[in-house]
Amino acid sequence: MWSFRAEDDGYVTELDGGERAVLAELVDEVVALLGGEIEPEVGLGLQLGGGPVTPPDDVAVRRLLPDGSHDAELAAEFRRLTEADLRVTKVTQLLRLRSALGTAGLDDPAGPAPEEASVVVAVGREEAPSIAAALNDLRLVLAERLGIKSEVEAEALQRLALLTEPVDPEDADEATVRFLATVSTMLGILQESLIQLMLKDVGRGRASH
Amino acid sequence: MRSALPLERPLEQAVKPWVTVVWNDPVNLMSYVTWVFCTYFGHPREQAEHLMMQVHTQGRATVSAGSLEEMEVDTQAMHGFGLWATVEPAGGSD
Repeated sequence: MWSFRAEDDGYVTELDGGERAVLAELVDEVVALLGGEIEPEVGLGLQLGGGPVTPPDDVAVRRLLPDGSHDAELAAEFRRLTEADLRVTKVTQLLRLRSALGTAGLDDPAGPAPEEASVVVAVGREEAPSIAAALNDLRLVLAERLGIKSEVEAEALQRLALLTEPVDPEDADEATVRFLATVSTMLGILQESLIQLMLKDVGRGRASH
Repeated sequence: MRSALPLERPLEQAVKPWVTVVWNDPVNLMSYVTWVFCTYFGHPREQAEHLMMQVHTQGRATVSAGSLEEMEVDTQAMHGFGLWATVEPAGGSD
């Protein structure tokens, strides 16, 4: 389930409408966090070379745009030089993922019920690195939101997703965490399977990067 | 395997005074880190995995060395992939 496989000149998986909707919503959220809203004529409207020198307030965004040095001055200089560019890079990658998820059955209330709208999600060989990076950023944001700070906590989260006893319907927090754990697992499987295929192609000299 | 001649390190640090260090993160997949090291730095798979294991087990690994500008480029690239990296002066503990 969820794993990508090689097909034709790319990689494919299947996701149902509910899964695609969750991923699309997460992508949209992180794009917004990164200040992205691509307007074709204007670009992101961010200044290059005159950017911020203080780290982002949001811890999740700070993980996506971390300090580039342990020295405060160097870190500020690094941020000034690179942050705008990195935001563009990441938003571009996320929008590619958004595009790969497609729109069929996602936004149409009159369309088929989400569970029925299982769709092939195809990623071309050329864009696979961008998709892998976008999936990685989504996982980083989720982990920050869930307060994952160690390998132990990351593993505990994975086990949560495997629980079969139903969530207590009165416990909204538990439901949220369990849901996010499942989403996190799905993202992990998507990313891991894609990377294994990408690594195979590096070995065969068919890498793109 | 580098020799341990005492004169070599200071000379190397004079020529390549900065390094890029990649830090461990509980979220990043080992396979992903390996893939980044393979493709961005052009390492053979085995060497990329070795570096990745160093990050995983020792918490950090030095992945490149050179001028400040070069290390900023590498660090930015690592951030683009979602890895956490920093520019450090060469000759720090590793």
